[in-house]
Amino acid sequence: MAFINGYKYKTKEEAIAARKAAADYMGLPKNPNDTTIYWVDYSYSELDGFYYIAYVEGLEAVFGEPIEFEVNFPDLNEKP
Amino acid sequence: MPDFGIFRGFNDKLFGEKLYAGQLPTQLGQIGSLDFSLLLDSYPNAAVAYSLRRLRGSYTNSAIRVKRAIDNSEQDIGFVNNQLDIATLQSFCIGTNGFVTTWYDQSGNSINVTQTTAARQPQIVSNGNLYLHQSKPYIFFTDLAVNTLSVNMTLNYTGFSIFAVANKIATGNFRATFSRIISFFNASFDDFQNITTNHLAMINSGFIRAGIDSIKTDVSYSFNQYYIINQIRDNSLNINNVGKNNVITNGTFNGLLNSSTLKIGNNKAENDCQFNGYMAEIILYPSNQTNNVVGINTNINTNYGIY
Repeated sequence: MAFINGYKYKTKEEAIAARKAAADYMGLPKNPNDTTIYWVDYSYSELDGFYYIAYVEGLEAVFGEPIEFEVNFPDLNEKP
Repeated sequence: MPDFGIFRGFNDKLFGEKLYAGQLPTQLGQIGSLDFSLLLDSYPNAAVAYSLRRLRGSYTNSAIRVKRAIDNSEQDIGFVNNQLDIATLQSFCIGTNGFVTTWYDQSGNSINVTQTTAARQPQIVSNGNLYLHQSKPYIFFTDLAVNTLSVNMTLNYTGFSIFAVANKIATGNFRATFSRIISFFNASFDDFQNITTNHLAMINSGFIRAGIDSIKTDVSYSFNQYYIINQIRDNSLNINNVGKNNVITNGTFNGLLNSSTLKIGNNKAENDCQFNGYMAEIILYPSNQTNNVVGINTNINTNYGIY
């Protein structure tokens, strides 16, 4: 489990729309041949059943102030 | 001055010059597009090869593609004298940050790794300044932003060898202690084969690991230290070299390297295992390069001055 500062979405469609809004705000992609398409991307928490975008500096201009929420991750199958 | 006959004909044929006693053929290490000071000209047939120096004489594409923060413009950065064209990079990123959007594959297979999301691109210029060690540039990956470069590809090998130049600077974000320099995986398996708990070119907190748990080899290392990291496998051999220290462990490796995705700086899940530090070169051979370890490491060290 970890605390994430960012934005939560119930559906994939909402997360995709948010990703596009952020890219549009930044004017991305700037040129058709550029590699960079998005400013931020969304993640999906399988254990929690929601989508989220982690906050990066400046993103509040698009989505407002971020919130802090818990995200649960599957246990790693690794030993120290 | 007498002719130095043993080299004269060879040198005349290649370069049209006479050679005299005491004079070495100055271009003996370079024939056509082959330059034997370049790693892949001396040790060819890599599957993928990412570097901030030129690795093959016949490679004519760029080293990296960079996006600058000030206006999100992108530009390819190539080489000057077989090293990254630092002057062009700094000119492009004067007073701003520069991020790597593409690390071009120099193997000839065009398996370029990319990051399409700006917030997750590793950084190469900070406020106009490069990340340098021994005057060589490095790419900085931060686990806080989950920096990753990746590509979809197909690998299916029974043996392989990895050579990397990297420096992990800290234990990193919450679960980044299992940080990956490079990893492979497919839709079913993390990292690369149908055996769980395997590790590929991994820097853990305090050691570097190669191999699955049953045959793992851990080598102690220090944070904030630059290393040449080797991982070599075939059906009976698992080697993990760190700098000048070679550790060899015999084991059994029966799985295939059967992968559909390659990632640099992360593993499949991307919510853990982020690498936190600097990288300058990663080369994967689809074969056991045990016999070439000394030569390849010497070539790398001659350029980067690691040990």
